[in-house]
Amino acid sequence: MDFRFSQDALDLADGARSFLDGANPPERLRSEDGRDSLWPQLAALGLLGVLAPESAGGLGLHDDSFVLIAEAAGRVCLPEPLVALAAISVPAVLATYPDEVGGLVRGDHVSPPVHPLAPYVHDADKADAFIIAGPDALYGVPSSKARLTPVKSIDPNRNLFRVEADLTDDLKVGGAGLCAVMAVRGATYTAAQLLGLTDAMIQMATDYAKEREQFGQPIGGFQAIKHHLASAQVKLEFARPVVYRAAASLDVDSIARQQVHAAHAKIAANEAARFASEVAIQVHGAMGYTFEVDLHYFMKRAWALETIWGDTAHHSMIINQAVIDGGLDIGPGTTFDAA
Amino acid sequence: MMDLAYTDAHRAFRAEVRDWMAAHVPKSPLKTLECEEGFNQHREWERVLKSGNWGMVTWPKEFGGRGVDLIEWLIFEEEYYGADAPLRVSQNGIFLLGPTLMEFGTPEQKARFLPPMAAGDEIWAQGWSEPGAGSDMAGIRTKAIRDGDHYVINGQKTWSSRAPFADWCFGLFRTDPESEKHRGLSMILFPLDSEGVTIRPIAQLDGNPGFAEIFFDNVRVPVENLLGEEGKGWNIAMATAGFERGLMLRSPARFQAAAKRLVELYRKKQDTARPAARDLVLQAWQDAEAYALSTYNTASRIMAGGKIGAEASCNKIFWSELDRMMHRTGLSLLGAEAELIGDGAEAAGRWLDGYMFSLAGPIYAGTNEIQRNIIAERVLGLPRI
Ligand SMILES: Cc1cc2nc3c(=O)[nH]c(=O)nc-3n(C[C@H](O)[C@H](O)[C@H](O)COP(=O)(O)OP(=O)(O)OC[C@H]3O[C@@H](n4cnc5c(N)ncnc54)[C@H](O)[C@@H]3O)c2cc1C
Repeated sequence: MDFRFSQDALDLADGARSFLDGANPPERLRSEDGRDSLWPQLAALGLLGVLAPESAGGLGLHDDSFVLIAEAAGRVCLPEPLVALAAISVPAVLATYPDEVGGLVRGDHVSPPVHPLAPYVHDADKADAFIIAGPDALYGVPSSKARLTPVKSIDPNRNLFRVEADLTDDLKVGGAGLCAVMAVRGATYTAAQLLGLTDAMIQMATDYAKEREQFGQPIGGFQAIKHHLASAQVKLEFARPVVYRAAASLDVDSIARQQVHAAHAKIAANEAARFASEVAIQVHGAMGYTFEVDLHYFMKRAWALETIWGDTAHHSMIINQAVIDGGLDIGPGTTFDAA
Repeated sequence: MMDLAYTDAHRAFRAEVRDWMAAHVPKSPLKTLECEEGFNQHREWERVLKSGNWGMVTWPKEFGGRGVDLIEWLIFEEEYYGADAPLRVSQNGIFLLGPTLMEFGTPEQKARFLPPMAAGDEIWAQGWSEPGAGSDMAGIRTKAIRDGDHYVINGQKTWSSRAPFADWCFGLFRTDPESEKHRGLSMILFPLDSEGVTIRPIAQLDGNPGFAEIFFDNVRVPVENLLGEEGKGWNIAMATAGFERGLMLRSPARFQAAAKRLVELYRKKQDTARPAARDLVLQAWQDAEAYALSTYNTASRIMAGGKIGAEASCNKIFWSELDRMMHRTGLSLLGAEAELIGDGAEAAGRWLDGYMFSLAGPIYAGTNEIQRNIIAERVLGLPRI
């Protein structure tokens, strides 16, 4: 029992973080073009293949080595769907057509996940295929057979399409179990990105509070401002271990436990991000209510991620079933595998 | 890969604690430890614990412990609260002074104080607060002036938990009368039955004398009861506060047990519960789990040589606000019963007592406002003004 990241995972995440900080500064969020220009570098750095086996050009690592990278991607509000591809598509393809994983890892082939909980797909017009979770099976759908309808997101950096297809038997690639895995991964990794967004919003508001002066002093010296930000920090600090555990439990615990952990992670991250976004705008005053200040990109990404891969209502029902209806052993000593 | 599995040794340890608790935990609840009869019952329980060598499992064997690591301590706590065992009347000693002695004490002090602490033979009170020094602890004025091989203490402490019935007290005193603020303070240990000590119990919210004022009139304490260096008491106090807020004082198992009781109560009362109650019950379970996860992470870090930092303040806010929310929710499920105390109202009594005590959580161990200041200034780096 050692609930810490390995040094290797920390080093890998540090590398990813410094790359992302440099390659995706807030200015990039303001430009309308180039939303996928980082693909070659993300692939070259091996970030698409962290969870793919070495034989497919990946690193062959477990999710507890990718969750911090997902957090880092959230922290810079990365437009490229790195996390969805590396952490949802790669494992799904690995479980169905392992020979195809190499193409995904190299960035040659883009097949985003589509799920009833995440029906809108960013940059779907650039996809080669889609991995679609149907009612009781998983389908692999070439883009020629998918119908894309453009829809607009409040997040200016999400280039969204509704993706639909006739899910015929010949497209079936796996059973319902894989759809469940996809949902758990989707929730966990969306939560991880929300942690990063929360962190970024707290940081922006803190930086602003140190600079902006009123009544002859930095507003960050006022206790009301301090306490708002401290409360947001508390929510972040206590969402983190929940999300990290959900990632650590992927492919390790029973699917039922993974579902509860992912649900908890998503709710905690949703709540932290929503709280931090409201605090951050308040700390910025009218400046926060503008399109000029970077904050809104992060806030809007957080709004988007809060709803996809299961909103709080959806995940509360999962927790409800486990905890109140009695599917799960609760109380002291039940946090990890039943003793 | 992250290792989130218990070892066979952990499982065996858990089974051992579980079996022992099943055989020894009193079948009916003890009286509150904040009254004399209850205090004595709880002290008796500490002796029973000692007979099983469970006084403070993480301490070295020579001091009455079992030398187990922090993960095993968490397992012990889980089984302890899972068995609904009594609250620890010795908590000021074993959770706060003990770790501080371990870090700053001389070998003689450790040998003298730790074993009776683990055995429940000496129960400790804490003396930080004074009438003029609450949140602003640097306002401490009670003096301890060196006179030969003694300190002579004059002044007053207040809000000292357990002091009405405890044996010893540790606290901060101004050893340099010219000093101000954080400087010139020292940590001193003294017996509560010393000549010149007067204890005036104060009734708490529930009417029981849970804390007390302590008056000092030329109380002579031998210099060997100085903990750490003279004048360095502030740093030692901060280390104690770190243990208190960061890890030891409120182990997650306590909240997980309360969350479980809340779920059970909700199952019985859901037909009359207000719609929001279900959400709050789910929140209670989730937050208790989040606290447990965070604590396993802290324990893992400390075992790997890490230290508790300013993030301990996040901890203290989180558990105290969780505790209050859980008990408020529990009461809200009880309807008209929620008012009832005394015999025959055990369910209601438990939630009401728990609620009253939860109201103190955001106040003691440094108020939550002070914790938010600490987070803002030391974690986020906002200006101190
Ligand atoms: C049940 C219980 C047990 C206790 N046990 C002990 C014990 O064993 N030993 C001991 O020494 N003490 C003990 N205390 C005392 C406790 O440590 C103090 O109550 C606490 O430090 C706050 O001090 P105060 O009560 O004087 O409140 P004050 O400091 O007067 O604060 C009153 C209010 O003002 C706020 N406030 C004060 N300063 C600031 C600031 N800078 N910024 C924002 N808000 C501020 C506080 O947050 C609080 O809301 C206990 C208290 C309780 C309730």
